[in-house]
Amino acid sequence: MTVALIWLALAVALTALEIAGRRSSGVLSLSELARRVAERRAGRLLLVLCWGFVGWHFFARSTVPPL
Amino acid sequence: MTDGPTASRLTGTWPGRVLLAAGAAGDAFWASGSRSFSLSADLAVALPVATALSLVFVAAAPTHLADTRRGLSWQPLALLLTIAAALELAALALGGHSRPVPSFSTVVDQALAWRASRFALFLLWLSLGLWPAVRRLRASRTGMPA
Repeated sequence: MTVALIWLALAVALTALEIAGRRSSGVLSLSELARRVAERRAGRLLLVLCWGFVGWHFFARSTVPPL
Repeated sequence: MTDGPTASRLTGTWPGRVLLAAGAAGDAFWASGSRSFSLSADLAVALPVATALSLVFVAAAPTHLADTRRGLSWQPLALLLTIAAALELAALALGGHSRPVPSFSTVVDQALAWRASRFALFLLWLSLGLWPAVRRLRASRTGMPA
């Protein structure tokens, strides 16, 4: 339970960082990092493959049966 | 496969946007109703991934690259990602399904047990992957920064 809350806190912190990054606070956010990686075609390909793996892992290979 | 100008015209007009949103909602509905480890679930994920992959090759490089800000402080993001990686490694070392130390996917799997949350998370996943590609496609047509 405690670690699940830590995961939640990490998600909230990443969201806060994203908002701070968009307000020009001088911190690097995940979207800014992705934008830099996406400047090259190989980077865009890598991002799409990572995104595809996440989708396949969570939505096609989820281990908890639907209610 | 759709060529670049046709695809960018499709996403740049309101009927195109409505079609895109309806397609995304339909795919999310299909995916949220599919059982894991089924061909239907595989296809519901594979279709948007194939679309995004085609956009990587179809969309021409923007005339002006995105106006990325340099010299940003990377330490907060690096700290959060390091904590997440350490937690995930510890969870995987304990088998991944440990109750006291669950992995990230075990925590997310709990949220995926309900169809409504699966639908919402699938839409979030779709928007995270497809929206940047659509923006880049439109930017490559207009020559504006993505």
